[in-house]
Amino acid sequence: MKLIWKFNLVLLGIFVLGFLVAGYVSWKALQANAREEVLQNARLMMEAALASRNYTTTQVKPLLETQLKYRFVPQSVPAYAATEQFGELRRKHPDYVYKEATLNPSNPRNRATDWETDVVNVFRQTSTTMEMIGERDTPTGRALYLASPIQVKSKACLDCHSTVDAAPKTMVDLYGSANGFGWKMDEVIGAQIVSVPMTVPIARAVTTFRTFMASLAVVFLAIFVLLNLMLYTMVIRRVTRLAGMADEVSLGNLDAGEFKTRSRDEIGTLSAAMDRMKTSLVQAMKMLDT
Amino acid sequence: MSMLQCWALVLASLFPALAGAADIGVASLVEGNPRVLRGATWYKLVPWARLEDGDILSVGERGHVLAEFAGGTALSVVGAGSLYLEPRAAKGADAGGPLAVTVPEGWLKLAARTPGFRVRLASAEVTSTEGILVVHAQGPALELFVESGSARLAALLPNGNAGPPQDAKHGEHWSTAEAGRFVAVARAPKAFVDTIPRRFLDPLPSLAAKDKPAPALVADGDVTYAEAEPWLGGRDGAAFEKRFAVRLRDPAFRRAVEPRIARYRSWDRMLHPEKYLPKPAAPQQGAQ
Repeated sequence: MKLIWKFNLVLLGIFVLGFLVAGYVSWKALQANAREEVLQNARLMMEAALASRNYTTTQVKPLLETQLKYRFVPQSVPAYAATEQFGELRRKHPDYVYKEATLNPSNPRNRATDWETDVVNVFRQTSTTMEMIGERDTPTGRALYLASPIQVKSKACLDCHSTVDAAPKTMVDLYGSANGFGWKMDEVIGAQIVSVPMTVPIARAVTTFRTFMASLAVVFLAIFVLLNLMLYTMVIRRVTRLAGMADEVSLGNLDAGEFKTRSRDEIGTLSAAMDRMKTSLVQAMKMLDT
Repeated sequence: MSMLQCWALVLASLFPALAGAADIGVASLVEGNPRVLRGATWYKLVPWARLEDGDILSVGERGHVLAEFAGGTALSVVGAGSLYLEPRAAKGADAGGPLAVTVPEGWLKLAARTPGFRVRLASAEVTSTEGILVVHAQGPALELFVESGSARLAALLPNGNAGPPQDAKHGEHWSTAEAGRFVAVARAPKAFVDTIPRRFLDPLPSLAAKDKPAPALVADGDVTYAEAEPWLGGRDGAAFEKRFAVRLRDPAFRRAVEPRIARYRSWDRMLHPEKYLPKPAAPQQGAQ
């Protein structure tokens, strides 16, 4: 097998192996980064929801206390405020979802769906679980969800949700007396669930991966071509010439030409040595003739 | 009584007003073009104008006035309506006693602090010492919502006196059912909430602490007979006859009064003293 074939075979093996390893590692890293990005978005949304709830409780509700004596103002409810805020967000980003999924809500729009009920029940069964992260398929693609429990920690919650009699009459007028009552202190009544689409970050990761792999392939190809060119011009062609001249000299053609080249690299040194060897051989032959 | 004596009486009746009544409150928030009737002259009501005993506030359709009084008592009138700050001293009442207002009609929100207030309506009288109330008076129809605290509600009897009072508690809505009777429900009905002025759903602001200097009021004409007539025909008619007597110098006012002069005995006496001259003794028959 020719040297160039051996060389190319090894080079190709290294390139393929490097390509596969780099592809695997970068794919995993990009996917992890995409998921982490989605998770960070989800956490940010959750924090924004909590901030909205807190703002409503501490600043908005006190301003509406008087109005609550006349009619129930849902804007005074932290869950309503957080949900409405994300409703505005969804006008531009419809795939982002925030829900205060509740098993027994006053407002029917907060009622937990099947999979949300499962999440809430996990929180209800294991009081130490404070966060759940998962993925699920949605009509618009895969989505990551982040959930945290909603627990009755304040008596203020029970002012509206303990019994119908204790609840503000204006609230009962609005939501009726069938739902949203019977909550107990420290009970997990629902979960805040943020759902963030993974499609876009994943697609971005795939694009980045493809770009990276294509760039890597181009670089490998350029290196491959360049190395082959260099190998041919700097090694193979010169060695072939030396071999041809040595072959001529060995057959007695002492006028086959000069081995010597101007190059001072290893092949140049070899050429100079072979040139000296040829000179010695010519002189030895002349001495034998005399 | 001669014509001269009558006019001297009119001038004498004006003296307390000319001497300058004491400030009892301040109009700390004024919107629209409300006016205040002081004596027999209308003035444009402007923010931080001082209010005096006997002032009548008139608020237009899009108007709003917040009046704040000593001790934290405040009242707000929104939309078309009028309100009369009864002169307590003139009635011999304790100047430190409850604020007394007459509201023929309109929407009114009151925040009462001790010594509270007494609101006279066409068909009832409402009193409260600690409470926040919303009152809607429309002729004999009355709606009262006790936002906080408590109030006492008494129907006005045909003789003008207040009937037995009823306690209105926090959160209750009272309305007139038929003469002298009220209906109370435990919450504000939707129809009431739907019609209540939007700003009454919020607490009355407290601005008087800013204590801005009193602006000079600009006169906006004299009271006409049409404007005076409801007050002349009210419970304090005699007092208003005395108060508006100065307007009898205006021929237009006199012309408007003349067809109904029989209602106003003191004015009749001024305008037609000849009717009240001592009748000459009838010649005795046979006294030859």
